[in-house]
Amino acid sequence: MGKYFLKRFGQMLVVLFLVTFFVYLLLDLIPGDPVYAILGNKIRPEQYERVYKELGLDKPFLVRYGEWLSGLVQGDFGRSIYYKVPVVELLAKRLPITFFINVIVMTISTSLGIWMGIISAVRRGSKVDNFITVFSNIFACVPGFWIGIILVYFLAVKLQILPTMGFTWPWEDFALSVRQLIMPILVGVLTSLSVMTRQTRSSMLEVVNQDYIRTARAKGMKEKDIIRKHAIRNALIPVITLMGIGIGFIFGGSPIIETVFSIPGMGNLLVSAIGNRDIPVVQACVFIMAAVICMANMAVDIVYGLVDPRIRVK
Amino acid sequence: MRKGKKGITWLTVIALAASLMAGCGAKEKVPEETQDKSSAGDESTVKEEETGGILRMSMSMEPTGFLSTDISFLDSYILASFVMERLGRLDKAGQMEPFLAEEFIENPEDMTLTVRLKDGIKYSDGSTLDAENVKWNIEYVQEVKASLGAIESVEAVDPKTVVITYSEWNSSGVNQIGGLFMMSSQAFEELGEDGFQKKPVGTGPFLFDSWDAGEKISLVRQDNYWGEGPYIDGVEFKLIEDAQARLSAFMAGELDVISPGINEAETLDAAGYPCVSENPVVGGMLRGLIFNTLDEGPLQDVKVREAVCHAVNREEVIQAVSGGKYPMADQFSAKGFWSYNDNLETYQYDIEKCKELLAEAGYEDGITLPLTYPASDVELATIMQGVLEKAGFTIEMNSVEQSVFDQAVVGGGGWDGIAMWTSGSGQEINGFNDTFGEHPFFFCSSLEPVPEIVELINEGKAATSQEDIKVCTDKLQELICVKHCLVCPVFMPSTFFYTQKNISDMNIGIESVNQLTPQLIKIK
Repeated sequence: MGKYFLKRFGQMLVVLFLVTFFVYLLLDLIPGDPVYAILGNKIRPEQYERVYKELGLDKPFLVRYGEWLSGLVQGDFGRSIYYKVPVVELLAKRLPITFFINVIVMTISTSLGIWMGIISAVRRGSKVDNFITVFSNIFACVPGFWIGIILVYFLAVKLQILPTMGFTWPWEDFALSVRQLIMPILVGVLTSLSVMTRQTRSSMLEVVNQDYIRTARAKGMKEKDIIRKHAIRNALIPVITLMGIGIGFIFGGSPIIETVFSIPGMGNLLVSAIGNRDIPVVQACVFIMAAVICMANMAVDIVYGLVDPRIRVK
Repeated sequence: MRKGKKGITWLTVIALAASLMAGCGAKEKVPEETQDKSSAGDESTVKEEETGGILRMSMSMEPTGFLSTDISFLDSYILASFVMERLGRLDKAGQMEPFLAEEFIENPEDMTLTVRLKDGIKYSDGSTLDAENVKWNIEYVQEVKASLGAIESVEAVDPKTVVITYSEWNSSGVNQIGGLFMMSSQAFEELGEDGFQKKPVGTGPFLFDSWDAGEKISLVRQDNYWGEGPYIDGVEFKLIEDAQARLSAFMAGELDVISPGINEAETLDAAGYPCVSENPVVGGMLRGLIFNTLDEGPLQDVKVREAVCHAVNREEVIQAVSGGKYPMADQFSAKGFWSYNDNLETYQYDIEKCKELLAEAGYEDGITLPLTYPASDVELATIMQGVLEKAGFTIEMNSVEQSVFDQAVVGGGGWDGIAMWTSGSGQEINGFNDTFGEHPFFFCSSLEPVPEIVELINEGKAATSQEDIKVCTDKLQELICVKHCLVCPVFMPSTFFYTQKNISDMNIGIESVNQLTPQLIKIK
């Protein structure tokens, strides 16, 4: 197990290196000049020269990347070109917000999605199944930003029972925090719930038709026990993969939700940073997301073994 | 029994959630009658209610900093105006009037501009706005941007008098010097450049309290403000990049002031919100087309350029872009602005004339022209394409990323054929100089310099009276827009402001789009 873990860790470092290198390269290859992207077009040559040097653009690509990488190894993500503050300072504020919101979204959507998927599969063809299927299909098709706008219009603008935007930590103002979180979480849950439900339903349908389930029924096991002990565990493998991918979003944030509700999270930061050509911020966000996804995949592989011992043996 | 317990639990949760939402939401939903009643009390009650409170505003884009040289777009101007003030202030006709200055004395013979300062003006850090400080501010801007004309020296002759000596007379001097935000040199030394730009210190009615990057900027009142006010306790600028989110926040009563886009303005008009802008154009932008006259091609022929101008149906463009709301532009200035030329006869929409000119230029079978535009301008560019193609042009659309466009028009790459053009409205000599002068830097990389225009700009810069400046600007607009037909102005995008009913005396968008009176703002 230790050897396996070390091997995966080594692979993860290689992946991270490649991701950061190619993102840095891609940002460098984007047409247009970062100085104009930051300062706009009404700038004089003297200003241009000053900022060009400040950004280190007079140095070759590999030198700039090398400097960034050496800083990273020492825990220094550099300084934001746009905000003119250390990137770590920006991340320290944004990361916990995104993490907080997305953990809630993921917890609700995963547990509810799995539960709805199971119910839907077990009661295949029933009214409940039809309702869940239609519900999932609708929210799989409707874009999140649209749901957000509609919710804002009715709940915030018309009824004025919820605020349209913002984020407050629960320990700062609990009531306000809850009110600000309701809509973003609802949008997040509705958009991710459908995928989880559909995936669980199809996995469960595949499993409940297996011979060992029929055998269990023939043995006279209770239906509840069959589902709990045999079906769910076997159906969970693809669902766990899906959850692994979802973990990436916990840190990466959802730019749409964060933009519609003006939440100062990672997704919002990343989108703004790309627009502003704030390379150190983009690099830091991408690095964190890549690292988390790599770690989540590693964790998923380990969980596979726990859920299905046959995989561990292999 | 178990089922019953579950039901009770769920009911309790739902009831709690509902009471939380309703209870907290009720705070914001103040019925209009109540608001009206509260504002209709006796005088003392009104006075009491008109003070205090936090003004809630938004930013569509976050400023990079607040050094006087950094302040470049509308949100940053408005935000800076709460903290820093300028030596002068534009009046409704666009003339610079003294504000922190007592008077501006121009002496073209000696090539000097004397700025006399008002007494008793202090920065929020306690330092005095004196001549030495103004001198430091001018030299700082001169060093960073070199955009204040040919300044030979700046002297603080006494604590209240600064004399600026030019090596070449600069008729835009008052506008340039008067438009500078004054920064406290003492605070700048203490905080350093990086520190100051994140926490500027000025003479304004508010102080910087905090700046949460990417989230909000908070200001608090300055109790020792030199003038009248401030009446409110503070201002909060929230970063809301999405236009729809800003609109929702305003309509839900979470923002007190909004500057919406044209579509959002229509929604607000329909909902009955009054627009407070009286002059939504001055200080704003001018949009149109600019021609590549440098490279070999059909546009080197002035007849082809004139034909393009005759093909532009301004009314149709404005209708499509703004539902007819934006004012039409056929020159640089807005009507009512001092530099507007009433007698200018420009090219009007006339397809027959357009075809005639094209035939004269040898293009009777039509002509293909590229239209270069930044991707963000796709809507306007498509409308322009439609309008020009109706007149028989074939337009090749060339969409480029914004910074590529900026680099092309400013950095020297140049553009093919026609480019979407943006300029400041209410042009001064200095503005003409930026694009058509001797050392241009803005939208100039594909323009062949026209000696007649360069000469007239130099004349305008050296003009010694307002009358002479007016003669030059009138003539310049004629040369640029008509005789040489280097650009085709189309419309001026208006900047509208809407405020909640309980906000008064903000005076935003009255003289120009980026001026207001933060010290007088009251919240009922």
